[in-house]
Amino acid sequence: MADYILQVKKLCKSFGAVEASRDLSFNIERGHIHALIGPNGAGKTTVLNLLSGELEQDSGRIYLNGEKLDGLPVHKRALAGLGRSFQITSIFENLSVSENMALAILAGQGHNYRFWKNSMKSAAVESSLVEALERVDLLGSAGQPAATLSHGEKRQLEVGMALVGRPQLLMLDEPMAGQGAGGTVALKKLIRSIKGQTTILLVEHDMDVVFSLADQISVIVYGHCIASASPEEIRGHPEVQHAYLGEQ
Amino acid sequence: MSETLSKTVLIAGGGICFCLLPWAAVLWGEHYLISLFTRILIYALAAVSLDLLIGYGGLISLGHAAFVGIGGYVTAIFFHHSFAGEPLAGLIPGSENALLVWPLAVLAAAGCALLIGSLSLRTSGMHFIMITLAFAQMLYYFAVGLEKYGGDDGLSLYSRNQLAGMDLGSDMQFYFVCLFFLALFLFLADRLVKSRFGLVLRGASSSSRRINALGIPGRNYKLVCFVIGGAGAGLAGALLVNQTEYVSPGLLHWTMSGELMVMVLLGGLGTLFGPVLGAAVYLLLEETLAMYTEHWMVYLGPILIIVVLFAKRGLFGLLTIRE
Repeated sequence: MADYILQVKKLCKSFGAVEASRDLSFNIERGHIHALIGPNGAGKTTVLNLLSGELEQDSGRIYLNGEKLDGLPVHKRALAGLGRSFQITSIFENLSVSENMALAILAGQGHNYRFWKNSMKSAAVESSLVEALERVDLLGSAGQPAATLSHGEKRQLEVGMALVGRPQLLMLDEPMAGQGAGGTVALKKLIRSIKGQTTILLVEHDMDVVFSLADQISVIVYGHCIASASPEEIRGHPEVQHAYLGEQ
Repeated sequence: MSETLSKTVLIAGGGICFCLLPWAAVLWGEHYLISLFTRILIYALAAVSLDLLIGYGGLISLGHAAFVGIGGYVTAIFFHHSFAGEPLAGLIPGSENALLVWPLAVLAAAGCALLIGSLSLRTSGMHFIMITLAFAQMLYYFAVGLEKYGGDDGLSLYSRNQLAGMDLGSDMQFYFVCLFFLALFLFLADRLVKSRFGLVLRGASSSSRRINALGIPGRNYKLVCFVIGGAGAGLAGALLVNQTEYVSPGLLHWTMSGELMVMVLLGGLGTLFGPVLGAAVYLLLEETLAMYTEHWMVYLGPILIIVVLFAKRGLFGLLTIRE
């Protein structure tokens, strides 16, 4: 039997009359890059919000490493190993780039009720800050306020912060959105480089990126998962072509 | 001059001025300056504690007067019972000992901040402003209804508290006690905002969604900030009541919260040291303008508008940022 890091079983979520998720089930194998695709409004971001705990499902179950996640608040799920980058960039705009990264580094290192010592001088930050910034090519702008970064750099910081906590499952919500060609190549390289260290759930519109990176693809249409298979199989899947790829 | 250098110079210069001021006042024969500047120090303490909330925790509280008032009332009530020789609620003896009463005032304010904060923090933005205002006004009317302690008229103390071998009745000594507490609070707050707690707090005020996604329950950190701010205001309340030897519900009125907020904005939001400058400028303007007209607010208003519009980080920002 395959080693699943995440199992989603019969997830349902309605907003009034709109069924954002309808008996949604899929599994993610450990170490894979698992892509979630579907037309606009198919409910992909809803799935991420259900997984992260920002939304609570009406019914269904979510398991991370076989442990039930339902009912846990967002921060507990994050500590259980669920990392996330957002579709709409949500870095800490009022902090500097290095403070952003330091905060992401410290988040997973025990409690933060430490009032005395300078945060930037704690051992965890001193040992891994430079490396973490280098990985997303932001060492040069470390001292800058994050608000002054370009859009592409903000995306890099966003992904870098999600990565640094070494999540077991990293959810990337449209990491390429609004990126120029150069940024897309750089991010693709970054995602490839962390493959194997962590499992990735990738929601992405750019089909070239999806088909070149993903090991497994789940297709969501109207909140329902209509297929979950390898990229080759998905390409040839008649229902998928009809529902999604055919429209392009 | 770099920003950090000019900041250090400004803070050190301000500190030296505050240390030398009482003697200068005595030399000039303007003794009243000591009590004016004591008042500035105490308001500065309250304003700095509010800056922790607004400038670092993103908690726009319009109810900070509640904690100043609680600190003040605890001090006054203990004094009253000690003076009358009649135990509080028939059980607890009153006290005039600052070493006992001031910590109690701080604890009471902090406890109340914990209660008000944990309820208010379920909301955010405009609702948070309104709910903190509502709590403070509730306490204001509660104080008005305290017939036993003077109700509307407030309560006189007849003298100041006693502090281990010092004579707080001496304006000079009391001035330095206030200066000591302001300096201590500034020092601790400065460490705090640079610490891990401070980093988390500033992050949580910027994006609560992201802080949660990183595995940190941001709201708890904001609550702790709210309690620390409340404690600082409680101490300011205890000192203020000692200075004036008088407490009244006015201490809890929303106009007091508003004044503190003006001091923070005038001095510089999120700068810690700025609100000290803000308190000084505000109270000095009040003092001088009030000599010419009782409608001195008419002149203060435009000044505040100009500062807020043109200096993003208040007067402190104007003085420290060099392009």
